[in-house]
Amino acid sequence: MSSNRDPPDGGGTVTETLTTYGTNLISNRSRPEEENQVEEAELKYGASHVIHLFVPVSLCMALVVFTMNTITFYSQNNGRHLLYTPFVKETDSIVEKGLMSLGNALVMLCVVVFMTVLLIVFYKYKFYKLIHGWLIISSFLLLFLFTTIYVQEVLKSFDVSPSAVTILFALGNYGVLGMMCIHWKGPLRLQQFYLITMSALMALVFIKYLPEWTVWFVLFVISVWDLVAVLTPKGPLRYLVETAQERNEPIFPALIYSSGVLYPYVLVTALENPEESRTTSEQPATTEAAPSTSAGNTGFAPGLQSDSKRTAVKRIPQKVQVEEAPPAARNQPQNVRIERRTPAVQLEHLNYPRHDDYQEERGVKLGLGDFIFYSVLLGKASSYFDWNTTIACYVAILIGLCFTLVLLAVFKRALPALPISIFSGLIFYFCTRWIITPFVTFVSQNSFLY
Amino acid sequence: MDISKLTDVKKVDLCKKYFLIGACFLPLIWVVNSFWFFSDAFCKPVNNHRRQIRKYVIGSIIGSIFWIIVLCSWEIFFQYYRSQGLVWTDFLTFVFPTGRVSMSFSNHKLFDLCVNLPKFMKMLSNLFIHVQFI
Repeated sequence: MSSNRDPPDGGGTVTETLTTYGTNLISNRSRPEEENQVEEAELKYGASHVIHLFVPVSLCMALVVFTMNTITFYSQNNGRHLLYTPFVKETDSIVEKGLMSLGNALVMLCVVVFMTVLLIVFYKYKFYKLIHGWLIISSFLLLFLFTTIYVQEVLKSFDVSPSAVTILFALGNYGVLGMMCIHWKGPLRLQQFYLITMSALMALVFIKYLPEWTVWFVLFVISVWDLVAVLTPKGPLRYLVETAQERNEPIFPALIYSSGVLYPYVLVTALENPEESRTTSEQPATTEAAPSTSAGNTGFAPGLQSDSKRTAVKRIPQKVQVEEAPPAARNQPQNVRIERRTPAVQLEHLNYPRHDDYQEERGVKLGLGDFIFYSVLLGKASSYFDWNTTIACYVAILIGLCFTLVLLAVFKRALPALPISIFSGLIFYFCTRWIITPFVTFVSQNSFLY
Repeated sequence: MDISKLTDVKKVDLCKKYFLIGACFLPLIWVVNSFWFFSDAFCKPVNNHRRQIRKYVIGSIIGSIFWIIVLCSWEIFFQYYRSQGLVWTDFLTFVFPTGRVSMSFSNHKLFDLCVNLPKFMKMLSNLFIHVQFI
């Protein structure tokens, strides 16, 4: 999560907003009082935007938890595993398990770093078409293939058997509408719905194909990477943002969830982008991505592409962009605006004079990678059917998100969204599982309290 | 995409594009089109652009209703013959469920409802066919 504060536009049209980065901004702000007013209004409106973020995050997590509880397909991995988690030997020794999980997590981290670097290279040498095409293929795969698998499992679980004609027709419609809403124009609610469902699907695939202990290690390692990549001076994501700002152009569209209207060019992320290029450069695993669970043990799990997508997702720093317009400012002809820019997440560059039919709207934005990882944490926690743990993790994640947004308002710069929530979620998960639950069980068994 | 920020000309253009895209065997697009532009077509004062939007929205609504009827009748037809066990229906079945999977959540009332609703609808469709023959 990151926010980057831009100074208010001191006058003129909307298109004169600055695209500066960081706190050393040079702005053409008009008067200090105005700035204070604007700042105050910003903080005041920040709280409602936080709440606006809670709803989609909770919806995504609820979808994942519901699926984990009702459809057993996603809680078993059927002997397949991702290419990125090579250490899957069955063993009883705890040390070995731990080392294998750590190894898997580090392999995934390397993949993520590689993809990030690849993305930055693409961006640096201006292969925009490549990135864009990659994103489209990625979302296409996600919308059609994974939804089909999901629907198949849902139908199996609920013991319903419609005709193939109906299902394929409905899925085709759903997919095409999804592509339109995400990449082109569509109603806002529908766009948000599609982003949430896609994140939930990705999270489910991750939960399915990552081995037990690996999930926790991966979450930890990715949070650390997010922290490092966004905050260090040489961080790749920071470089990405700075390059974009130097060029004075919008950072490549990313998959961002917005509670307000999205900038029309903000679309699919580079997340999926790197994945696509990766999958095409390796053996095409498209044929492997078969929903058939009877394919036996293979190294190429269907998750190959989804995983790459996901890692790509992680790669992009998850940023929250808070944009607010003080209501007074909206009515002013000068359009004083405060914008916070998310560095890597590419977005906005509001300073885009040629496209003034569409303006960026105010709304809180959160990267989809955040959705995915929060949902992975909660889905994994709920797969043990212990509601204490699930609810504890949910509360921890939301508190982490709140805290991150507060820090956003305080620091006014790019911040990663993952670390605080994931760390607190992990702490709460393990404490609840190892300390609270046995305690509660013991107490209620011996009738001390309940 | 917030259509309230668009100019009228752009709205007409968008509505028309959605209508044309929906004409390619994509009734869901028509449904979305009719919901999205409904207030623009019917709940606002009429001018030339609004008339055009109204035209497209009405077209989308009629198209959606038509497709819904076609799909429902096909599905009812299919389930009827499937329950009779005809072989050709097996080729067109999407998934062969092996019965309800029991799990800790399965005794939850919501889950029961979710499972029984399609069965109920299947029953209803059978009833409908029998009533027709009477």
